[in-house]
Amino acid sequence: MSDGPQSLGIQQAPTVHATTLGVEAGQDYWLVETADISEVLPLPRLTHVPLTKSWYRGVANIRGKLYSISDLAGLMGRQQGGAAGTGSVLLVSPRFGCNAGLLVTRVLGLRDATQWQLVQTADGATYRDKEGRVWHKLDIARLLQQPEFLQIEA
Amino acid sequence: MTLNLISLKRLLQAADPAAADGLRIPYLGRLPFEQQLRILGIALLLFLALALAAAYLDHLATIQGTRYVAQSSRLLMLSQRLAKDAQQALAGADPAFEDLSRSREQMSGVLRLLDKGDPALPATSGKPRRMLDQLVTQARKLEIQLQALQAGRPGLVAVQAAIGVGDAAGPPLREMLQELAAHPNGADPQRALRLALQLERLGQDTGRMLGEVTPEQVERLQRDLQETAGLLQGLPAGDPLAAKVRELVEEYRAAAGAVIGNAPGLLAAKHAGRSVLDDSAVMQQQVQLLVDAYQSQLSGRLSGLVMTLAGGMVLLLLLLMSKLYLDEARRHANQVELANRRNRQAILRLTDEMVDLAGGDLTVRATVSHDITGTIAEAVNYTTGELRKLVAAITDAAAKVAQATGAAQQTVQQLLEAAQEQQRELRHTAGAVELITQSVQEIDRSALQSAQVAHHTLEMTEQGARAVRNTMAGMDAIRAQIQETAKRIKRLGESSQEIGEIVELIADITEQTNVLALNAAIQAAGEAGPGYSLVAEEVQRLAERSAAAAGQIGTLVKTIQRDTQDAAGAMEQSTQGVVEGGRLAQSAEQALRQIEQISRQLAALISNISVATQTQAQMAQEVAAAMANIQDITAQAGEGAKKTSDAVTELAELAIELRVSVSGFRLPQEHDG
Repeated sequence: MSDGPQSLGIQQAPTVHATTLGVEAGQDYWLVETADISEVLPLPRLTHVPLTKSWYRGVANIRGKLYSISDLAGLMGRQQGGAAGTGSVLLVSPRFGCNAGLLVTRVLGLRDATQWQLVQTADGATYRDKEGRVWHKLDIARLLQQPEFLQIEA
Repeated sequence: MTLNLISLKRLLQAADPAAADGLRIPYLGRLPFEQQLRILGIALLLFLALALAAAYLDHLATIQGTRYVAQSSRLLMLSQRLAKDAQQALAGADPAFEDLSRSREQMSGVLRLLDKGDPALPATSGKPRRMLDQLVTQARKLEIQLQALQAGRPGLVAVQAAIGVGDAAGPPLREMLQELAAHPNGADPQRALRLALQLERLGQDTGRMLGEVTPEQVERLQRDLQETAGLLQGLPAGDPLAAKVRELVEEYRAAAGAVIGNAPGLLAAKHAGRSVLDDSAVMQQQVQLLVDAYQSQLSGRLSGLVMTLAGGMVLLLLLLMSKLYLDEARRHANQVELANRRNRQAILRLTDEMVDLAGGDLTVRATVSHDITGTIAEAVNYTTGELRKLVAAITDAAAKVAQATGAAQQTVQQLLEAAQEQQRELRHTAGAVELITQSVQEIDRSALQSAQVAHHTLEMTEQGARAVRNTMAGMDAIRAQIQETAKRIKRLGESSQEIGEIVELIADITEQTNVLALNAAIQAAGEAGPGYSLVAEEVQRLAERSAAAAGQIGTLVKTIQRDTQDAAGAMEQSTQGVVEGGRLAQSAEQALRQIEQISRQLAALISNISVATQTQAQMAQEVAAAMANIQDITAQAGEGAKKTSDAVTELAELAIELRVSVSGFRLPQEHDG
């Protein structure tokens, strides 16, 4: 903690304004636009909804509003990550008019992808950071309109 | 020998003294001595017993006689006192009656004692008995009269009292009556004078009664009393002087009235009193006679004479017995003298016969007679016979000795050779023993060295044991230190755990801060503009770094915890190692102790061996000394054998000499063959 005051100093502050949030879901890393989400929460208490898909984790009461919580990794057809009861929830911005939340394994923090290497693939653009990790860009507006997302009935 | 016999003869021919005979006791003298002695002894004992008995009886009679005289003298005194008391009683003295009855009791007690006797004193007998019987009869009579006198006691006393009252009241009455006659207060002066006269008469009446009492006197007294009473009636009633007179006269009248009341007793008593006085005079004479009789009985007793006679007889018998002894002794001496003279003659005869025998002639035979020398002669004959046999045997033996000495000489020669051989062998053996002694001494030295080595071992073992003990102590200290260290490390682990918990808390806070910052950034992106967003991002980044740092600390703390656990484990193992080491040291100590014990035993055994070998060496030396002794003895034996050979030669010569010396005796021919 001896370098605490220095880390608070102006000298080390990044000059680039990062607008994307880096999250980890299962084994994948995702970049989410901060404008698309309204809030990041630690995993709230979930109420399980029966006869739903496995990635649909249930309903959470957040400050009096009900949100549907879905597992991001499960939704993307990957193995659902993290142990039960851990992880964070990203609440979708109210401008989409949809009370939905995405469960991720971990929120890694604001990430600036402009400096990273861009790799164009078949299903969209991916980035590769300095440590060699591959990041996907998550388009929440598109995800919300997909029928798979809306069809939660098992 | 011959000379001795002749001198004996001369001695025996000395003159013998004439026998003397003493005078004899008549009658008894004819009996043998022992019987005389027995008779005299029995007589002596009888007279001695008689004398003793007489002495005892005399003593007893003296005591009793003295007592009789004493008691009868007391009786005399009592009878005198009785007469005196009776006189006083007649005169009306009250205490005399008490004395009288006491004297009477004492007298009857003394009479009873003399009459019946008590355990120490027999009843009176013999001449005094008659007088005592008379006295007892007299005493009984006196007793009856004394009882009568006692019965008259109130009367006598009353007379005395009346006289006393009359004497006391007389003078004042007279004065009062004269006064009354001079100043008659309404009374007749003649009457007062008559009363005075009457009172005088009353005094006379009672005064006369002191000497003699007759019924007429009593009657007159009664009459006078009645008259006095009549005169008293005439006195004026109111006058104080008259009242006083009446009072005094009434008192006097009461006393006189008592005399009249006791008149019959008084009469008898007066009579009895006079009889008592007469009788006691008679009785005194009788008592005097009794005392004289007792005294004559005491002085005339026989036992004293008997005692003297018996004593004289005892002395006479003793004299007789001593004379008897002297006579007997003299007679015995005479008899011995006679026998001695006979013996002397017989011995002279025998001596004559023995002279030839003394000369060496063994054919002589002594005459055997009935005298005292008969047996001696027989013995002498037997002796000469035996002597004959002996001389023959000696001659025979001398020849045999000569023969035997030849054989002995040969044997002695062989003995000498054997001794020399023995000496050679002994020298050889002594050498062997010397060698043994040396080897034993060698063993002893070795044993001594071994003992030293064993002692050294013991010391070393003790040192080792000490070292092991020190090691054990060190191990214990190490264990204590390790345990202390383990405790501290554990505490360290606990502290690091606490740090971990704190770090977790910090991480939690950081996480929350992170989320808050993220949310702030997200919110800021839409609403507050880029400035605020920047700050929020910065905060979010700081939170991230804090989280990373906390994570690192957590990792470090975990590492520390793991390390401390490892260290604790290692400590545990070290402790176990130390314990194991301690156990090993203990077993090493036990082993050392066993070694110590064994070396001690070894040392003891070795010292035992040393002692044994020393004893052995000593014994071997003793054996060597003994061998030397044996060698000496063998040498002496050799020398002795040589001397024996010489002695045997000498013996042969002596045998020849013996034969020659015996040849001097003459033996009868029939024994020579």
